[in-house]
Amino acid sequence: MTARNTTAPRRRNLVRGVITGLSIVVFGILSPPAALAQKHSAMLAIGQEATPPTLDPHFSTSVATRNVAMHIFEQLVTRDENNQVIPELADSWQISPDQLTYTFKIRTGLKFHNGKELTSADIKASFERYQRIGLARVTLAPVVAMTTPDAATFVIKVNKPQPVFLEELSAFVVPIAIIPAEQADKEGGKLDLIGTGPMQFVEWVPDSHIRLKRFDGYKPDTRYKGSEGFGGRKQVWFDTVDFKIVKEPSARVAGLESGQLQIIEDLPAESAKRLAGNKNIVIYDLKNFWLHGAWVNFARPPTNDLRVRRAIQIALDMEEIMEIATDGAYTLQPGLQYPGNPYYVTNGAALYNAKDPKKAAALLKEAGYKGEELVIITNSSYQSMYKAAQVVAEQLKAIGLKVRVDVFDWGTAMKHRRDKDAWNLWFTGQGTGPSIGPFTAMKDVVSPQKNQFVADPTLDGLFAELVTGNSFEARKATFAKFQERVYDQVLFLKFGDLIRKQAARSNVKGFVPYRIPRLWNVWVEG
Amino acid sequence: MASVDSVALAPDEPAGADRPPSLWQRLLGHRLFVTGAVIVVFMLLLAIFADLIQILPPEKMQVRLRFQTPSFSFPLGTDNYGRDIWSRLAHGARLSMAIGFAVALLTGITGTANGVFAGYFRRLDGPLMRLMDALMAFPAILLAIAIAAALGPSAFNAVIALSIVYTPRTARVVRATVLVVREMDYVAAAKACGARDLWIVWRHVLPNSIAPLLVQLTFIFAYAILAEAILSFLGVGPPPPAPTWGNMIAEGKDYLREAPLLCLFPGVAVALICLGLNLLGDGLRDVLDPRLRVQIG
Amino acid sequence: MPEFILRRLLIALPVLLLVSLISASIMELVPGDPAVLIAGQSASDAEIAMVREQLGLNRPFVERLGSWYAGIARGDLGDSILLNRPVTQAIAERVPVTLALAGFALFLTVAIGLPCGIIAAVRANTWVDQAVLTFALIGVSVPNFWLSLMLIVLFGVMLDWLPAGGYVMFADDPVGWVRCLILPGLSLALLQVGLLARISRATMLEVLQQDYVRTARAKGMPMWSVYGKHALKNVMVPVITVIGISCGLLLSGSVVIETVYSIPGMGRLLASAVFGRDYPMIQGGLLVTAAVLVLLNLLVDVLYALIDPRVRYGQR
Repeated sequence: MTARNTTAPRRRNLVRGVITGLSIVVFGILSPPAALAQKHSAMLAIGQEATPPTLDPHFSTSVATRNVAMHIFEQLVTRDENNQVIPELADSWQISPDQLTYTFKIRTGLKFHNGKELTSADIKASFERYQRIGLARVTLAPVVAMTTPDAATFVIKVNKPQPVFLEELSAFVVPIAIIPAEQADKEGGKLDLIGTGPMQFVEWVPDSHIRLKRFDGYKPDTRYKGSEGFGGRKQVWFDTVDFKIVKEPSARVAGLESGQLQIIEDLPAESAKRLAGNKNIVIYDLKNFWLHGAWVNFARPPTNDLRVRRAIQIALDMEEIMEIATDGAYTLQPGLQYPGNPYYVTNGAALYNAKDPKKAAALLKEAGYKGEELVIITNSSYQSMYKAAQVVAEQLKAIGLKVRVDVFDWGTAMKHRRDKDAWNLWFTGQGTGPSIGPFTAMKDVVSPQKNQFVADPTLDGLFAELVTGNSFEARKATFAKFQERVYDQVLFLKFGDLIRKQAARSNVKGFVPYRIPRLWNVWVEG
Repeated sequence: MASVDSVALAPDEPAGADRPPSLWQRLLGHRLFVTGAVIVVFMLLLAIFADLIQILPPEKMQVRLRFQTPSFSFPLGTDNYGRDIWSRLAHGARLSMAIGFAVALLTGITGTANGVFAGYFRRLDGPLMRLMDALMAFPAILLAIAIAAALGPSAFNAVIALSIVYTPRTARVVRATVLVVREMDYVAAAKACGARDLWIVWRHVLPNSIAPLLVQLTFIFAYAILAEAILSFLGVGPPPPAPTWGNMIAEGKDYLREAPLLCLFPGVAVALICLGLNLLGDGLRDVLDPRLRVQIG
Repeated sequence: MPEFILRRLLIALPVLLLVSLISASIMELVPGDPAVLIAGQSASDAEIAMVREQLGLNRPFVERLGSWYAGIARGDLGDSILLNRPVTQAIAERVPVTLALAGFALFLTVAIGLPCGIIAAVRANTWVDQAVLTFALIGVSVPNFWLSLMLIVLFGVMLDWLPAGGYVMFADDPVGWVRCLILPGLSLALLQVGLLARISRATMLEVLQQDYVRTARAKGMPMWSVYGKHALKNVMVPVITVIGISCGLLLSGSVVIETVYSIPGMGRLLASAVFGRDYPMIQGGLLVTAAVLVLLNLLVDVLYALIDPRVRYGQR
């Protein structure tokens, strides 16, 4: 590593620190919008599709958890609307020239829902709990020491330079939510839901609703103009918000149509077509919500043979798969990141959506395929995966493969994935992972995770290269090679990207679609 | 579930018959039995000749022909995969009825074994019937879901799960008959002559149990079809693309508002076959064993 | 009578023990694992192992079973893995909802089924009778989850008369509460209505054949007073039978109905527990449900004895 390389990220972050400081000045003097009083209303009900396994943000990878928890808790640093790292509870940060020490200044005068003031001790305790039970605690593995020189300063020391450390800290698959220090001893899933966010927890009636209310002690982050990802300036206009758990899509739609629900997540595409002309309802398209595909097992015949894998890869007609799986709400692109992401590359495109069943059948013959059963595992919990699996099965039967489809609920399907003898293709959707960078996608196929069950030194090497890559350009080039390798070896069958549809009553204003519906800065007119 | 008699709809007496009518005559004279038989036979034909009457293979997808409304080419329309609903319905009849029949058969065997042993051998009565009570104490569907989820979703496992759930009902019916038969003089006589227990069971007890058993199994046939639909609906039945009626309803429910026919047809099919079997069961009971009026299963 | 109740209770004990053993071992066979579910799809084996330890799932089955029984002795059914609360509390929260739904369905059953059955018997072999019987037969044949879907489309969406799903507390909104219960209550009641109509019709017919009824009619007593005085009392026996069975069926049916209508009751609680692999919740929930059913059956038997002293208790 050269000295010039190591200073580059530091300078960028310092620049960002200055910009942050400036934005405080610029936006601090902007007064909040006028006519506040009219924006207030008593209650909002949002239709949510799944029950969270827990609301403990350190102890869940579930979207359903984030839906609710990100209104209660905040992070030290988070991502803005374009996925760049921004400060949230942090006021600013500095990285030492040797890249081993991160010094965070904490915003002062912020309160937890229990009235206690936020200090660096809470941040440290939260990080410590995350190290102990956080499901993505590998993020904090490089940390060798955490100290709190004073109530507004938090210092992290790492063992060696970590170019992507801040990106990892701000990731929100399992967010490092900040909790009061007294809560740090709580076991996973047993957390009292006290955060610094703009809403506070009221009650959870399982399978019915989770109720939050406005936290009156909340001080909006005046450095920003409006919502920035999960951060930014947040203002809640409702006294209470109910997250209603409505699993049946048709029931969610009916609730929206009748006005019992003001916002729903996941509007089925067929219903969206029908509701397109409805004046009372606005439909929001959330592109790049899910990357649809299937993992390929290298350990079990017949997919242990690259020629069989290639035959499967080039046989598939992605348009047909995605059209049926999503009822038309999709885009086709080969990347393992979303278009617009900093790391987006199209390497491997030649092998994507080839739809050449003839050549595939020939390849299968060449491989000496003897009718071994190809086992597809999909699940009944996510309809688009269930449907995609059925179409893929038909397309693969057409080239002469003997196919069996096993359908489980999501939990059982995940359990079976760990058994290398149980499946050949495992259907999934990757949502948040690809949206926050290339790391999740890569972690799944390098040691020790290895979805394919057969270690690939090339991939392991590329991952090490990515994590230590000192410039963004270098890291992106590494990721391009990674994606190339995925297509070349057929590690993952990428189908397409799902467009998620969220919908709201048309008197709901200020709603900006995001991976998780954000209910701050949203109000109901009239 | 109970199977309750309809006294007034007992067989019409054949006028002017000199000798008692044969079993067949009585059955054929029973209006509801005949109605039920017609429905069941129709469904049976649908199931047997599914391959001949299908318009397309039930799994054939046509991405350009999704959500077709009923027409000459697709009499019941197509589903969200562009598959022909009529063909799937016919093949669904085959699967659903095969599962229902298998459950009835398996339940018949296990239930009879349990019932006979419990009823005839006093020492086994307590433990066996407590086990049956324990199985009956669970809400039936919940137990079936749990077992089916434990075994993994497949047609075979659905049969196992449902047979476990319905065995106690059969066992109770058989046991009740056995208890009566056991006290009969001819059984005592056989015993006195030194007949072995198993022989007595085979020669005297079983034949007497057949009538109530047959009635009970007809109803279990119907429940099993209903329950299979529920298991499939909840995603623990035979996996797709198997065209079971439950799978068809489950797949159609996402398009309830936009394409209600997807759900409508398979639901009507389930209701129809259950209606047929219930009628058949009522008729059988009226004719075979009028005393079995209030048989609660 | 007390001796009879005591004997039935003694029989119930081994049944409950078996019930608890069955529910515990079924879930042991289920291949899923709540730890895998919580850890997420990118979790490593080490991370899953950590979650298992946090949840106390790494202990051997026998040990967990032992501590479960020890807990039952203290009235503690353990903690739900997914709901973050004691199992007893989760059940206590849900029971009123299912009771409301089941009670409403039972009310509909008796209010519709009993009069239908009696009228059909009184007007035996007329079109009224035929209509009731046909309706009753359809009631026991239609799959109730499918009927629910159709009712939702018709009344919840197209006509928009009633909520398509969900539940509000009676205390919050009494009118809304009733509106929420109408469709699920009807869907759940249909089967029982069919049963009750058929059984009360059959019993009524039999009663009408009895000598004392004929005598009363012959003496010129008005028809409805005869029915009210003699017949109804006899009809009560099958009614209680059906109500006894109904409780089991309603609980069983509520699993599906509560899922379709998004009602947070016991049935949905247990179904989600099965799919979420929430072992303590499943074990505890099944045990409580089974215990309730066993006690209900006992209650029905006792009621029998009170109404009809001829019922013999020597054998069942």
